[in-house]
Amino acid sequence: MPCPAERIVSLQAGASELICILGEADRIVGRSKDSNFPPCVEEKLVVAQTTKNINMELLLEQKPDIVIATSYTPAEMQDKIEAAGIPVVIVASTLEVDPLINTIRLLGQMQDKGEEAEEIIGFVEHYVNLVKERTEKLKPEEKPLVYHERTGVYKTSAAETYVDTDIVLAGGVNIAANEPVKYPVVSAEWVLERNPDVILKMAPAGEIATEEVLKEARDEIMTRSGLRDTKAVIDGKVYVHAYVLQRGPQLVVGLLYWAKWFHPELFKDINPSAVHKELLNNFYKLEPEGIFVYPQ
Amino acid sequence: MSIANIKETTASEEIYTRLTKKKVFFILGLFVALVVVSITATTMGAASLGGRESLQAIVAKILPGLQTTNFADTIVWQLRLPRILMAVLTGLSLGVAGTAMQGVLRNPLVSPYTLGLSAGAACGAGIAIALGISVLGAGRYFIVGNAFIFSLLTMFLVFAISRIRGTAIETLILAGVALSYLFSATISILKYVSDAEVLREIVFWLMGGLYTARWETVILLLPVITIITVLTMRYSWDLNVMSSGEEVAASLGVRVGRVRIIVLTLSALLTACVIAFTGIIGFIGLVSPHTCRAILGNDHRFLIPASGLMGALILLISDTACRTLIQPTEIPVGIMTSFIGVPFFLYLLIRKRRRWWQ
Repeated sequence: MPCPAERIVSLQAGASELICILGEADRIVGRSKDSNFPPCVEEKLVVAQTTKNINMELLLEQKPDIVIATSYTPAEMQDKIEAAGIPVVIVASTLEVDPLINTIRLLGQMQDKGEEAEEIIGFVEHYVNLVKERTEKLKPEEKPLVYHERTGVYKTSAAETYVDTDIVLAGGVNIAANEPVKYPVVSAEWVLERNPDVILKMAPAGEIATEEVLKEARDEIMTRSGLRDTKAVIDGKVYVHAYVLQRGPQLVVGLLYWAKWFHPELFKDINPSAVHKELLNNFYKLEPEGIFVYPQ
Repeated sequence: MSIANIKETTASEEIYTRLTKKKVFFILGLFVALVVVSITATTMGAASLGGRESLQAIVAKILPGLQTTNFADTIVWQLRLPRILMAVLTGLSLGVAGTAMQGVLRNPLVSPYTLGLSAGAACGAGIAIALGISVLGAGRYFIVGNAFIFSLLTMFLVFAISRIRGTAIETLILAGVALSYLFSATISILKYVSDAEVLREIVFWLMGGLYTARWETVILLLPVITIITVLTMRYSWDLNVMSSGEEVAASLGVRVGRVRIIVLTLSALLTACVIAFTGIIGFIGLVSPHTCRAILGNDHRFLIPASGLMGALILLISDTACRTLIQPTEIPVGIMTSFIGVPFFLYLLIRKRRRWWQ
């Protein structure tokens, strides 16, 4: 395997992001369409719609040294790339802490950027451990019941999903943890009966997260007939969050927001928005733009 | 006229009256079944609310003296009843529209599906979602409006195409099938180029479902659907005559072309109204007319109301099963309508030896 790679095609959004923050953005010669963060990666050529739909000719034409793919990339596609003499590196999703750290380390080693990689890992681990330490000691009755809704109405996430992992890590109890379907649509009356203490809503897709959009999503939850009478709505503990705060190193920011929403007293000293700024400034060389959670 | 002749007339009149009575009883039976199932469905759900408490919550609204809890009231009045009524309205509309379309085009394969209306609605909704309009909040009405406009547009396109070649039935159906392919392709493009979360919303809509039912929708749709159904039923005689052939109908004074356009427009309106809110719910528009035709024969005066009630019944049973089988997880309703409707339909198909189409 040619290390460090001079020409990289990345078919995974999370990996594209990590390559950029390792300072290797210039090496990317092709990307998947959903690799759209940080902004510098958007200038790169799109050679695949998703990690599954690849334009093979366009990809090969870029003459990459290496192609970063995922376990969802069809085996036939991987074979074709390897048949052209290009090694394929399979990376894990960057939606959860452990796979994220592994991927950062892998890409760091690959690009001879071990030091930079360890710095990011240190940042991520610091905040993850901080949350862990504070929520570990909580008794079960101190953990709020959480209902998390994806963009679809009553579409939630069961155990073994990154949403569930984040809820547990932040010291909450996912009311849908025991559902047999991974991303089930659940019945309204059941949510009402479980009477969640906190409701989290993933910001609507396809829209730039403006305050207006997030507020509209929150108002919809607050007034929805099945949810109006839940403890979360009555106490005003309904929070809308952007999807980006659950992917890549930014997931620690999402985690801090959730932990603070679940346990305001415990995380009084933590300012997730400042951590977000620190992360973006130091590693992405960016300023936070737009709005990520509502209410702030 | 001889006495024997008169007697004969009376005898056939008697048979006719007896058959009519049977048909009326069948329709009444369906209606009663629908009411019973509706009430039963009100007592079923993921929340641990007993049958008695649920019924109490219903009655408490009417008899203010009765005690009920806030919780039971919300579950029954805000969550279960609008959904049950939405299932009834949707099933009714699809059943009536399917019967009218099959009658007017004299083709057993016709349904809102085959004429491209469903695909049109889906395409409209898909475009709205891909444009970045959310299923939540005010955007919802934009999606509904777009779905509605697109399915009506499909109907008129199908008409316009068939007009050019004279209103031959095959042309209408082929145009509908061709347009549905075009719309499906458009949806596929939208799905292909959309990013993950938008894609989920489109797929979500395509699967169809009643869990977003709200009182506002029910109140909006109830008068519209009632009026269109009654208007459609007024064409029952024309449809009956047309089923013996267009030349016959024309010679009996039925303005075939006009009736066809009016009835198809009414059916399109009916379909568009409901699927714009629920997403695509297939099969009902095909199975309930056939089921009722197998039992009642081809008299549209009875067939239209029976098929509407049958559609309502099938959809309500399916949706209730969706809500309760692996509760609290919901099964998409399209899966259930097929699992419940298809065996029933096949049973009728095999059991009835009579050729009940023409």
